[in-house]
Amino acid sequence: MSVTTAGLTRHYGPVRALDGVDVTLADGVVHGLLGASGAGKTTLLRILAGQEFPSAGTVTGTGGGVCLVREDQTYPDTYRVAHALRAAALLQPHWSAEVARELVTAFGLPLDRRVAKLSRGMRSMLGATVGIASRAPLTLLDEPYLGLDAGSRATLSRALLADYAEHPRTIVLSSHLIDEVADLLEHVVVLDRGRVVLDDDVDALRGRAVTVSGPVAAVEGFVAGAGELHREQLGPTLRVTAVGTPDAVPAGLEVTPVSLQQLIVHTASAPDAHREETR
Amino acid sequence: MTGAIDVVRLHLLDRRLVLGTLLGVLVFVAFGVAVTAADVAAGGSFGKGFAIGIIGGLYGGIAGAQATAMSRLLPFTVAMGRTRRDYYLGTVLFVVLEALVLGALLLLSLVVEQVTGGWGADLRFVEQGWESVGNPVGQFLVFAAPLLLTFPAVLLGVVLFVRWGVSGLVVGAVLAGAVAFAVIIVTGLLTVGSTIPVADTVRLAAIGVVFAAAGWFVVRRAPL
Repeated sequence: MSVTTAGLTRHYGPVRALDGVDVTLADGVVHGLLGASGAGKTTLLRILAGQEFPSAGTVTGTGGGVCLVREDQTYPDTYRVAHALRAAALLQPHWSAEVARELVTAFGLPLDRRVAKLSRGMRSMLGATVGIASRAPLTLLDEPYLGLDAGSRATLSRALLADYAEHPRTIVLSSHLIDEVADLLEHVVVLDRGRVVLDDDVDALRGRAVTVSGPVAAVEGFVAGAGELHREQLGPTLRVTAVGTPDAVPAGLEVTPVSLQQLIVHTASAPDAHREETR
Repeated sequence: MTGAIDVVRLHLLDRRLVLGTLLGVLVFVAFGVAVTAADVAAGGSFGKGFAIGIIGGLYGGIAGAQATAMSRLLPFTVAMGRTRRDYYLGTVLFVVLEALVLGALLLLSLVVEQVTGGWGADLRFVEQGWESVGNPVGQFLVFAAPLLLTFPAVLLGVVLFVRWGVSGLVVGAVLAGAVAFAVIIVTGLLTVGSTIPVADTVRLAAIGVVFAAAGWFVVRRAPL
């Protein structure tokens, strides 16, 4: 299922949670919806799922079946884990009981415990189970790793990739913990204060920016004309993260690739003119 | 329609809540009978006002007990890819179904009361609180009709709360209550403190339909 937004805007009084968002979420791709807390990620997911209405702009292509698991997903007070799973099974036409059963076992979820009594991590496990087992053509997972320990994070990543490999669909993982999701993503959309500051395939992004360090004058010369995302100077050594640098590296300079996390952090905080060069 | 039926099944999914609601009706009846017995023992007669008060609590309590579940299921249902229309139509179907079942349960209580000669001690709680019609169908309507008013009223309150929070609920409840009260007084639909006449059951349900329709206009644009 391919989903496209055009000029998507949502404001709450003077606050613009989303501001003219144009993105295309291609079919059969794992997308990362990244950005700092308050960047507009959850608002965008809620609009895609039909929980929220845009103030302006359009969304097309969401008609084939959606599953949104929110970080603050609510269930009736009396619901136990088994109720939540049965409720999701009832509403999701592509539900896999087998996947749900495997994840319940892998996470050690107590089926008879009230959802309201679950820890933060267990609520994330339940949400992840619902999201993966739904096999919805558009699966939206909002902060799925929140509160999970290292073992559970690995379990979730493995299960998500394994099921996605067998049943490709459009998946959107929203997170402000970029390192946690970086290895799962094929495409990223980065939001900053409601605006898209980065929208590209991960493979293309990985080689695009570099960090150059060395003597101040040499680094300044090397990055002249490139898009500078970040700079820090320690005595005589200058360290600059930039895009569009020359291929030939002068002697005395050290050039290292930039991780997805660094690229996104630097892009979000870079001046607008330089952000454009990363897109 | 399939989506609405799925939502009805969703409301029935927690069997403990469903059975608890049915049990709640029986508890109310038992409480009413106990109060009747105590009143008779103390004064030798049973005031109709007691019965009507307990019955009002029954209708309001049973409907109010479902409010939280209704409000929580709305965002969940939409998050799982269903529409607000599916949710609302399914929930209205569910409350109609529930009103009919609870009405039947009250009718059964009346039958038991009559067959046992007033619970074995000539205690006439169910007969006192509702107008006695004399035929099972009419009696069933008398029992069920107030629920067809109170359930949609609670549903309207739920969607007002979902859309505008506590302030929406309070303002909406005051406005809806004032309008309903004005209609009742102006049309002479009900006499406050008396049993509900059979002829008015249809009008009670009609007010419920107005509440249900108003609820739809609130929920169709409610952010969740």
